[in-house]
Amino acid sequence: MSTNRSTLLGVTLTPTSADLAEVRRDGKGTQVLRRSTMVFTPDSGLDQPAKLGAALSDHLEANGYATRHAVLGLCPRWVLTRLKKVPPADADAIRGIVNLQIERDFVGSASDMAFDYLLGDTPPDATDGPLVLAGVREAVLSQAQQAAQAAGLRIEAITPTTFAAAGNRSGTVVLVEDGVAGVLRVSAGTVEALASCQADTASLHDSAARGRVLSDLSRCVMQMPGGSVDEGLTLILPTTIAEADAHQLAAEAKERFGSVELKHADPAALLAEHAMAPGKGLIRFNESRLAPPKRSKVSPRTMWALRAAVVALLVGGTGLYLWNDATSRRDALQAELDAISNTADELATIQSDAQLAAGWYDKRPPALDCLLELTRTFPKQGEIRVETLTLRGEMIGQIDCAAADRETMDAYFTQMQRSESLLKINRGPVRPSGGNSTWIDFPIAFRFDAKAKGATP
Amino acid sequence: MNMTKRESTLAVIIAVSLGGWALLTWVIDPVLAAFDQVDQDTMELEQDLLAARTLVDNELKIRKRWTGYEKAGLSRSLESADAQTGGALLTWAEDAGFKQINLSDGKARSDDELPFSEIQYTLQTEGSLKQVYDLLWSVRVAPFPLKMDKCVIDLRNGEDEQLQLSLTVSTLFRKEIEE
Repeated sequence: MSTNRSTLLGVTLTPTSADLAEVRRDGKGTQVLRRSTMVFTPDSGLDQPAKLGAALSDHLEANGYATRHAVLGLCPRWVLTRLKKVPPADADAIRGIVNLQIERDFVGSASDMAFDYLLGDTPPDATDGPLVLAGVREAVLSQAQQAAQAAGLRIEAITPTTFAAAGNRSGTVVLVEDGVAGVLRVSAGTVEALASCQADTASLHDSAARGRVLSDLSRCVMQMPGGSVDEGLTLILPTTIAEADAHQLAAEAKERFGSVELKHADPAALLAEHAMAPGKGLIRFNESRLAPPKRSKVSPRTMWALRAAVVALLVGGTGLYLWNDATSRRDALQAELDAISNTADELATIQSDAQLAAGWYDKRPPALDCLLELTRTFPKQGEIRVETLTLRGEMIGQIDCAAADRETMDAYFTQMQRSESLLKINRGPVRPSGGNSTWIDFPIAFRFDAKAKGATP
Repeated sequence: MNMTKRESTLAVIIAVSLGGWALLTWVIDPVLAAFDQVDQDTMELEQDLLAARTLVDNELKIRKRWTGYEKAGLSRSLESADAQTGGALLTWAEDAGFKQINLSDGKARSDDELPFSEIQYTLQTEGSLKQVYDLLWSVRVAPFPLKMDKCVIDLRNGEDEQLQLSLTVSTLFRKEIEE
């Protein structure tokens, strides 16, 4: 699995030097921010990891490297590789198959080595798929880890440089580093074959030296399954080799292999770019897939039961907390009410009694006000008399009148209606007064409201 | 028991549905109902407490009003209320100038739900409108609990502008607390 870091330090280690590159990834791609090569001194080689780490730390500081998250690449000289075929299976089964093959292929030395593998894609109609197995001596791995830690690096992965340098390329990829060429045949991102051979690049300015390198390489390629370079050859040479020498070697390689692409680049930069490429798997000696999985002492069923219990406890605990909160508030209110309820009940009774008695005290019916208002509305002219006035305590009343004629009656009725404190005025049926009289009798009902506007004080 | 994938899926769905229904019916619903009840109780208590606090905050005013009523002639027995009211009515009618005064005996009315009883009187007399005003004014400003229930002024049969008055009034007295 690739790292999701936006900046990564690639460090490719060889027995004599370390190649470094700080690479940044953004939306457009990757950019090499800085690069350098650190040649080991006799007293600070990989066999003295503490000193090497200190020297590396100084080198990083001096060259302005910002990040300390690093992927370490081990040169082809240190890494043994095998290409295997395995059937589709789960991780446990694959682990078992690979361990058996390690015991078979590396008899006597397996215990001193660290291994990891990378599965390729299994074709749909195939019964098995490719698996790349890589191994490195434990001592080398340990020294690399110690040196990196001493340099203050945070290791993302320790991986063979060759695979990382191959990247997305197809065809035959050759990475030459520290006198060894790692050769991969890659097709559609899957390693189909791999090998390594000597490649002394110390004197590439010499045509004989170039000839020897190409001969060794040619022999190596021919011995690989497939035997030839079909899709072209990519030759990756580090920048420590002079550009002219690199181009000359590539030109002569073209004569032997046909199509040759020269990549004169820093293996460390290629390593970091590959580690940051999304969806790319890495061989990780430091986090091997062959390490036995950490098995829980608890069975899955027990784990599920524990999870369910935790969830139930959380839900129950939350529910209990909410319940306590709600009931506490209710109880507090109840306690406060209990403390004052006796006094409140007594006061409620007194208040109720006072309201009942108010009609006999300060809310007495204004009978006199009503009489005065009736008197005020009584017509000053016309023949009309009041025969009976009935007034009840709630100031609802009726006045029985007799008038000489209807005009006089109407005038009185109208006058009453003009009063703002005589309300709901209704005139009852009109009857002749009786006998020889031409007078008419009529009742007028009303309600007196002393608070209405204009009431006689 | 060998079940097909479909059967096992159906079995799981049924089991989960039944389990969910059981959980809802016997656990979740009762718990929610209990919470609702507590919320309801709390709301009612808040209202009760607000009413109680309002009463307690106004304690001085409430007691003062009632003390005023008690001091303003609220009798604690039928006898004292009757003596107070009947005597006052006769005195006022005489002071107003009425000659022939007919005062009924006090008629007591009581409601078990209420802390007071009433005594009602009807005074009948004949006189002038001014005399009626004077009597009504006395009722209005009486120094003990008294109110007019009904007033009938009949002007038809009176001579010399005399009118007939029928005045019904009532007074209150506090029921004796049975020990």
